[in-house]
Amino acid sequence: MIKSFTVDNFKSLVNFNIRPAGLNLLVGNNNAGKTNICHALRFLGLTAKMSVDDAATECTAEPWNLLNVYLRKDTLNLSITCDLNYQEEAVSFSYELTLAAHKGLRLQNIRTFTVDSEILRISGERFADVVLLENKRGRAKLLHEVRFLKGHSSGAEALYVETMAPVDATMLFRLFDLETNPRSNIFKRYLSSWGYYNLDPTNLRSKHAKANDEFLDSKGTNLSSVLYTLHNVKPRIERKIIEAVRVLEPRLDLLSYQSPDPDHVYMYFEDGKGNKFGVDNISDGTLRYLAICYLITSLREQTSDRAGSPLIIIEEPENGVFVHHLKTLFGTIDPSGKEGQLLFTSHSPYFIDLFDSSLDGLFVVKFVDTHSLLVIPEPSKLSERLGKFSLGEMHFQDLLG
Amino acid sequence: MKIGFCVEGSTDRAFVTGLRDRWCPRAELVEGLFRGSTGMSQRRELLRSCTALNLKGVDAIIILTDSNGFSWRDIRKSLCEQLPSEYLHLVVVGVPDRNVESWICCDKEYISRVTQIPFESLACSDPKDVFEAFMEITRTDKREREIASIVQKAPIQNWFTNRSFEDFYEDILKFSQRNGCQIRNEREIEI
Repeated sequence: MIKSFTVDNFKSLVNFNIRPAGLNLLVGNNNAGKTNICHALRFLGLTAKMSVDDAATECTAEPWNLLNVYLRKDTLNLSITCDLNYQEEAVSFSYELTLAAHKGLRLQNIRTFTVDSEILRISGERFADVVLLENKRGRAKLLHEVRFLKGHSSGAEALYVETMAPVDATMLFRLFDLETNPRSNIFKRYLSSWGYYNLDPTNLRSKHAKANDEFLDSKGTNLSSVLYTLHNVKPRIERKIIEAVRVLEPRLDLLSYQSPDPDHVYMYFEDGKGNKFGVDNISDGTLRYLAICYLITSLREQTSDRAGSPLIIIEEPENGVFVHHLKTLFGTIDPSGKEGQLLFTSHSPYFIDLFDSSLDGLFVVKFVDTHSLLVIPEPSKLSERLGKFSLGEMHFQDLLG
Repeated sequence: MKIGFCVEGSTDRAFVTGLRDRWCPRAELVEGLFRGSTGMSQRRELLRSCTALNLKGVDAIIILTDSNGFSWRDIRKSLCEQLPSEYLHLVVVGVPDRNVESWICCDKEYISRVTQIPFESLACSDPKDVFEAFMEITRTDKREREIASIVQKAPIQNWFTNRSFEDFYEDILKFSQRNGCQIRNEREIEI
């Protein structure tokens, strides 16, 4: 679980730190920087599974606009501390990544990024702030974890393996999954597991399947295909999702699929009498609700398979969904984060109301002059005011911070 | 100084801004928000608006609401009765005999001069429509700055012919004296 995330010089985020709880909500005016926080987290997650430039493009579609326009600095810093488990052992990781921006390498005024430095440290019962991986401008060293734990450190069996590192990607991305560095790989898999979702109903209706449809993509374009995979591989989870959606659409008996070729999956809502409704006949809100139910349910399942609870970011989940149903869905979330760390953004007072029992995860984002500012409302003050206003009403009245 | 205010619409907001510019130009205005867009919503949510403004640390709360032809005295009385005693010392309630335009257009000669509204067009029970038409108020342009300026420069002593405004002014004057403010006594200013 993420304990702290710091970013400097990413869009409106300048020397910005957030300490998320298990269940988190970002509120604030339009253009305050809520989505930039989500994108910065997503960007860091993507650097563990693709080159830095690809991560920038995937994350923002405009990599040349990744840096703060007022700061005029050519480095971007991201750092994170998180608690994970490795074979029942609680370990804490800290990872710092500094990227250098280069103007006009390919095209005039279009920035490309190289890795300036990265360092991954581990702390725990058997590690006291030990460097697992260090990369400085292409020269990297990796801890041989087995030797470290055995206490070996003689000449031929050095603790660190030195190697050349690519500059266009992080060493973490290039890391091989070997017996010598299982903890570094646990961290890599954790970063790679983060998901960011901005669910658009048009995309959710797409019938296109992708090669790896184990996870929903950020726009939800492979929803049918992902659920089809789940239907074939983990039907028990698919059943749970159907039950969750039935709260909103009681006629739904089962989801059925047709896949005429490997590139397409057609999904249908089927009622108890066998009547089928294609996704084009399902309302926007119902499809979004289905996608959110999928994310929350599968997140819980993923957590049991992994070293740590993944981070899932969902932008404005309330769109198109009758507010009462959100409360039902929300009630199924474990606010401690043990079943997955969740980060939402929202403008809806009704959705914000639901966070009145998770005040430690409530953050107000404001834009001041050149950058975003994180305001953490004081929980004791909020609790006192909750007697007079709901949380959503406090947001509306600008009383949160 | 922070002045909270709770109003129904843009002209009311401009009216309060004009009075602030005239009497208390350094004061910060903080708008009390309410869910909905009608006077009924405003009155329903009055307690919440006052509580929110109080939490924001305002020194005074101005409430303006239209009477729309009903008895302004009755509405004013019922509003004051609704207010919890803990906010009474902060609140000044203004209920125009119809709407805030009826106050702004009290001095027909002045309004006719600054807005080019023909004098005879103002001789009606509700000048709202004609005022909005001549001010070229549209859905997208509420001309708040211009209205505030009209209020700021108006010969307010001529507005005392309107009984509902006179009551509102007396309350503001008393409030300012009670709180050691320096708003001018418009009655003492010679035209």
